[in-house]
Amino acid sequence: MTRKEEKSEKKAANRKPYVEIRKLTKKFDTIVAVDEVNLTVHKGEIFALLGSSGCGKSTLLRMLAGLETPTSGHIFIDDKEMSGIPPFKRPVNMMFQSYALFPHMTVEQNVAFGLKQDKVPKDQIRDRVMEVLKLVEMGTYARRKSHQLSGGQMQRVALARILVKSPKLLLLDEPMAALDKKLRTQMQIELVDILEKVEATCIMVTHDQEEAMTMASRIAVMDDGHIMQIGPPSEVYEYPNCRFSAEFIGSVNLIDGNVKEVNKDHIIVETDVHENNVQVAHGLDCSIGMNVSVAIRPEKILVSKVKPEGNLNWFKGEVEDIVYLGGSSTYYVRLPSGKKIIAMQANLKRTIHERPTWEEQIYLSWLPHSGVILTS
Amino acid sequence: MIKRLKSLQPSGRAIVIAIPFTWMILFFLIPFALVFKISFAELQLAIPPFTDLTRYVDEALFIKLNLGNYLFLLQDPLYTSAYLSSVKFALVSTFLCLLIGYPMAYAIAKSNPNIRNILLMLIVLPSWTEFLIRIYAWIGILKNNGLLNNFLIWLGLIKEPLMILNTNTAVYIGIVYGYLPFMILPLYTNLVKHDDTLLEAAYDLGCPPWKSFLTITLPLSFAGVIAGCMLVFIPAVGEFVIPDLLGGSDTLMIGKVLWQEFFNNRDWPVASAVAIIMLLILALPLAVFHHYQAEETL
Repeated sequence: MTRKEEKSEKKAANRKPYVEIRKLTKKFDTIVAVDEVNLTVHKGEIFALLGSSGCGKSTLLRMLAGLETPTSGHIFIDDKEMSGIPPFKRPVNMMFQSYALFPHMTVEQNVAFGLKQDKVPKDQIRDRVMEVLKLVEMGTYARRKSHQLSGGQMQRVALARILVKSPKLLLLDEPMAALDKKLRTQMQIELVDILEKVEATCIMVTHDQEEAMTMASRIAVMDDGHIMQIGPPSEVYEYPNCRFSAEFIGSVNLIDGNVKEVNKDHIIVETDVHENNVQVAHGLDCSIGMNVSVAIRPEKILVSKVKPEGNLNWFKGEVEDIVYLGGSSTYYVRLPSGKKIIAMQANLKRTIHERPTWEEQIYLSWLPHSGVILTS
Repeated sequence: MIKRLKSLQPSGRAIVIAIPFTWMILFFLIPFALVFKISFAELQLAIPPFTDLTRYVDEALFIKLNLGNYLFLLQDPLYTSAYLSSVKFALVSTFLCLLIGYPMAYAIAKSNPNIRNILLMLIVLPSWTEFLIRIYAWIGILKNNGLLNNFLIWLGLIKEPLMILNTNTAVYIGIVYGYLPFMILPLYTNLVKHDDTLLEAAYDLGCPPWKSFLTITLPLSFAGVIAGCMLVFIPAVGEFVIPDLLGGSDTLMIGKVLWQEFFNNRDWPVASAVAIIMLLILALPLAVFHHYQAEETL
């Protein structure tokens, strides 16, 4: 468990759900964009909706903002039902993917816009705007117009514009999509720092798993209008509950087979195409003969020239390709059955000749608790 | 050496720019210079009906600039009031066009993209008919036993036909009708480019839709408003056909005065002076127009 997750765990422990989504559905004509989604978010949490484009994550976000009307279902924010409340009366503010800064206004006017709508006295607006601009380190740009700003600066202004209203819930729509890669990594960490400083509750949408894992304390993996899995990043990565979330986050080797033996603390999976069987130490309800997949992350697989002991949890194969990444190397290994396995190995030693090379016969092995059984 | 010769050859860029320049020089600058010259001449009964500005006698060049035409325009109140009345006609018509055109342009810009082109077509379609004929048609509509009066009597709203034709009201109707497309098209071009997420952002920040229109859409469409107003105002000031056909004997517009000076009085120098002054009056709004055009393309 990461430090970030630990923090959110503590926060969540003594609080009831702050944002609650119940059986929320949105249909566009005949297309179901969001299908009976249930979700709870706690106060002070950064929650990420992760999925590929068209999975319904943006529609879900827009329904929270009130920009789309749900076909059915309910949204509660701080125990208040949101249906029928127009976007301009919701305690929710959204940062748009394009940032949507008003081009005819200065940075200062953009940030002050939301407070003006709330009829806040003028001198208070000025103080509050400067305070927030300082927080996002844009204090010196107050008089600039949006077309005079860089992408990163525009993002800060867009963030300031919603933070200034201290909303109960912040919505971020693909917050990093408009930034280049280098700036993205830097802004991800900075954004989390700012959000934690103001103790904001935040739901973000992203298609970038790295971004979700860097920023969020919990992730919901979405596919085709459904939430496939909800959990902290480490849980979603290490214990995927379905093929989709295993494959969507990181890379994974999926080995198909059927259950041969069910024991108290482990099961044995027979893989028809590979010479050896797989043992998975996982307390899962399985019956003999059931079709399952075993998911093993590449970094959990050991590549070695020495044949492992026993006849469980190892395959023999031929190195087809090696991608040298400096700190680690990725091996693409072909099994006799033709299946390809990806294994990642840290380059602990400097000498190259000890490592497996192209077309070499090697052994892939892993520990019993490295694999995860997927039934769907 | 060859390089030098090559640099003398006109580049493709220069040729492309030269075409509109030649056009402007041939059909705008030279005629303008001629009119400008005539405005300083004196009336004489001859062909052409004005004097030469230059005379070459005994190795001396005499240039005689007659400022009398301009002074005459100042002295005779007819011209001043004709200018003022034209500007008033144009201003009121421009305002009416804006009032009618903005909602139309907005509706077209926000309409379903499939029918948008059809709606635009409907705006442009009437101009496929000759302008003069369309204004003539309005006579049939507005006259005492015309379509409009008959319709109103049939409805029972009025008993006696309204006197609309040959009044200033008819001129306003004509100008607004004739120039409305010039208001709608630039406004549409501006409004259709607006990013809807800006409005969504405004709603999200607590701004109700009507207020978002005033604080976001309206200021962002300012360049379109200016363009539309200029395209209506400038030709409306010099409008001649509409006041002549629809207006009454008391309808005073500079276009009509200009026509009378040229063709009825055959006083080319005064007519030229009238034209030059009108051009000066229009130069100011044109400069404003140009300024905002440049700003929008930024």
